[in-house]
Amino acid sequence: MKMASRKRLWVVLAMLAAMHAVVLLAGFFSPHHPARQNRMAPFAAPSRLRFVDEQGQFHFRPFVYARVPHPADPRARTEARARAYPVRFFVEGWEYQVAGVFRSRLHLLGADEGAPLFLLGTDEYGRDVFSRLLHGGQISLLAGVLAAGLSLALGTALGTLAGFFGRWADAGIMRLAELFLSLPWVYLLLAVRAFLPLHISPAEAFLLITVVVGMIGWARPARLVRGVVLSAKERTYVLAARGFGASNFYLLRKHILPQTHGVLLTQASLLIPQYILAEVTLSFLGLGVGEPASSWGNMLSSLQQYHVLTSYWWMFAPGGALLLFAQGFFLLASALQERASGSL
Amino acid sequence: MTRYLAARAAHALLLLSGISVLSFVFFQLAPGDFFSDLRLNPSISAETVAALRAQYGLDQPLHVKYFRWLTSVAQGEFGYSFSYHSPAAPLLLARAHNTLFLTIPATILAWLLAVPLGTWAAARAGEWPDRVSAAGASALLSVPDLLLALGVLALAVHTGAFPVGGMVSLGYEQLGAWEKVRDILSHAFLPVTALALTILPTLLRHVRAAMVEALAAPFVKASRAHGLPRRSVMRHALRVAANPLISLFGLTLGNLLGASLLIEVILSWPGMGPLLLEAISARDFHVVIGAVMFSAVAFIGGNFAADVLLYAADPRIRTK
Amino acid sequence: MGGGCGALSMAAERLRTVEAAPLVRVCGLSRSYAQQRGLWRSSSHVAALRDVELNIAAGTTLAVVGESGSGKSTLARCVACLEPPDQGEIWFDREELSKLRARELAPWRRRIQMIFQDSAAALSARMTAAAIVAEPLAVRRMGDRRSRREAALRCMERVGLTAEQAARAPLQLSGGQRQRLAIARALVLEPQFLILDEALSGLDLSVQAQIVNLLLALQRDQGLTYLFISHDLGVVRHVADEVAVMSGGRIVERAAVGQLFQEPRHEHTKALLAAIPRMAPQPAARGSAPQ
Repeated sequence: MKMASRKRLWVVLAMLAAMHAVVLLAGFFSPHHPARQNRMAPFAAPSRLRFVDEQGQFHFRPFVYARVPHPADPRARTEARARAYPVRFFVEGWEYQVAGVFRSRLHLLGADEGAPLFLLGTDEYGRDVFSRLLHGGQISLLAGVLAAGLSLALGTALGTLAGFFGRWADAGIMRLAELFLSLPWVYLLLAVRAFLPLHISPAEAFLLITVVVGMIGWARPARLVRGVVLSAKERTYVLAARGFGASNFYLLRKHILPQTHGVLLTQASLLIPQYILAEVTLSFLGLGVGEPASSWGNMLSSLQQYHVLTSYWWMFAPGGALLLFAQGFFLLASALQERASGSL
Repeated sequence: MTRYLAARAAHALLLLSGISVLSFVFFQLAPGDFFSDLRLNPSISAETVAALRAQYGLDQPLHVKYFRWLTSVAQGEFGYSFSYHSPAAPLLLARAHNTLFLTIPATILAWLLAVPLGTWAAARAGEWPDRVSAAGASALLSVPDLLLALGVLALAVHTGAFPVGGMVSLGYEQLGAWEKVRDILSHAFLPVTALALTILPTLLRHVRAAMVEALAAPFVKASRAHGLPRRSVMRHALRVAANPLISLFGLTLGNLLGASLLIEVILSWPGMGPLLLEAISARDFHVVIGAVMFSAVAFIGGNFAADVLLYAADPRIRTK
Repeated sequence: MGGGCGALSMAAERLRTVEAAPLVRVCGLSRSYAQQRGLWRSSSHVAALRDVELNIAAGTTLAVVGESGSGKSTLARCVACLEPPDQGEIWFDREELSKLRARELAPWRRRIQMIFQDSAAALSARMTAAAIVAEPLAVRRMGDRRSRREAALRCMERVGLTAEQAARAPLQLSGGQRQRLAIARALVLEPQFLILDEALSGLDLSVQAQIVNLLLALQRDQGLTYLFISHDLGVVRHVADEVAVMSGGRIVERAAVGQLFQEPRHEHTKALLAAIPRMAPQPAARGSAPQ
């Protein structure tokens, strides 16, 4: 049983890592610049990759047709089969940065001018949804990870203080934690967001959300860390270390805090998806990262319009991505919890 | 008994006042207030804005603002809404009423589904009923609420079976009494279903876990060995499982005002959620704080109710 | 048990030669624990030590015996300065330790070391044996990595552990080996005074004998002073020079080991002596049939 759960853990981790890598290398995988508008093709349907041309000949290299207005019905669009635009791989395109450090012009996919490759269609401004999806993922995922990091750091610090020094520190911090835990999560998030400036740039919004979300969620990790520290503090080997003159700092660093790793890991796998969702929710409601930056949240918010909801199914793409990541993290959390309970 | 309950009640009150203080601290820290946008209008002078501020007491220090709000709460007004030009309480109550109209049926539905299903899964732990329901619960659990609501919306639009959004149709006023009821119910169907789907998976898991633990108790084996029919054994096991289930019930009670926010927004149901959002955009702080306090009261009240129920149900707590 | 009569006569010898002021002196030590009994009721106090007085001469072994709950472990921890007493004084080499603060206590912690009953709990499961023995040196930042490791290996050798065992984790060692490891760790700082809190309980009889011999050899070679806490009078007989009997937090009797065993005075001592299981069958008494 233990072998199986370990293997499962690694499989899930590998999958998640791969998904994150794709998002990290958003520039490489995106054929188009996420902010590039094509006013001539708003809400264009996803391009169909074809392998067999008009003459029935099979090509290894897929190609797309351009979409032009239908001759009979101006509101509809049809494919211009006269000209086939081959899809090229590893093309040189617009410049992008990887993690703000690397610069490159290499893209995985691309087509020649005139028949832009829209794997997931376009939005109301004609921007490629696929490219925006990947770049938006960077924002949503990063916000989730950073905020989770903040919560865990805060929670560890306060939980350690409470557990190690006890008495007043413990009582005070635990009361505060209870307060934060009693607050309804979504309402608190919105309320805190309410009390902050409304119209801010996407970058500021990102930072703000990350900090706010991270600072709200410290209570549960703090409680768990406190529990671990309390029990670790009483261990005989800690007492023995005191006996030969170890300082509090040494005890914490060497003997007590390493015990919290398991708890922190499980909490991270639970918090990260929650916080990704928090950012998405906030942006969806218009209180998070706004235009022109893309986040899965603000990409989904256009679905609140009736015509978008009914006609343009590809606008659900961020939802699909969100689902995929949520599933991945959920599986990770289950695997970690299984591992933790197995090794007890 | 009363001493225990009084202690819990005092504890709850302390938490509530803590939350209100915290909210006001945020209030004070926030840059700008309701009248900030007026400043952008060149035809309104700075003095007018300042006078308006003074009139509504927005320029007072923190403790003054807090005390005025407390007195307003004591008077049953919960502060003043600048957007709606009325005390906040009636607004909040009306919207809370609408929210409860969704959450109560959804919660009941979820419990009605979760208890039998969870018990059945626990009784047949490891076999196909258990595995199927666990897989279903996991699948549902990993779908974010946002997506669930959007999905339900999309479904409604495509099938056209139910009205999409809102609580009442146009021309509601002209309908007869029975038709009014039907109208509201048809509008409520989708949100209630979506909400129930968000509550169900965690509930199912907890019920199953509680029942599994109860069924593992030695007395169950003993009763089976004595030849007690399966039904009565389950009944007894259910009583043992009641302890964690009651706490869970308290938690679901506590979520009555908080769980439906996204669903209300997406399906345009006029509950506390959209009110909160409006108030945030308008920087109508008293409404924001009122909404937070309402949901906090529900949450803490739910826990308190759970404490009371637990006390009544579990003799071990009474003898402590 | 090996080394019977030899140990007794050696102890008698030692008592005669010691004249210097005691290395360790405990005066009027008292400590009680508060027990919270519910939110509304006040806490009750349990007195673990009441007005305990002790002297230990340098190079000798004082055994403290008593039943569970008599306060022995509390005494050990207070003397080791791991817990502060409520009242009283602890004198070590003419310095009073109980009122010192942590930083002032640091140099004394080198000279006083404690060995615990549960060796598995007293050694961190995540470290190797060599790292555990070297830890006191690392904590006090003495020497560099290499010299610390060498010192650790030397101590391990002295207690009878091999270099091969140095790389093992504590849980991979037997109970006796673990206790040896604990002793090695205690020795690495070259202390003068060792407090052994039920260090032999939980070990097999044969292993106990080995450890006793080790302790006696170390005492002989390095002039160590021991405070030996135990509930087992049988072991005490072979190890101690003086014995103090504790009951209910007080010292009820105190004598040289030979005298205690031959002429016990206090009721409690007699009860403890009577409780020692005897290996040889009892001579037929009270008219019962002979075996």
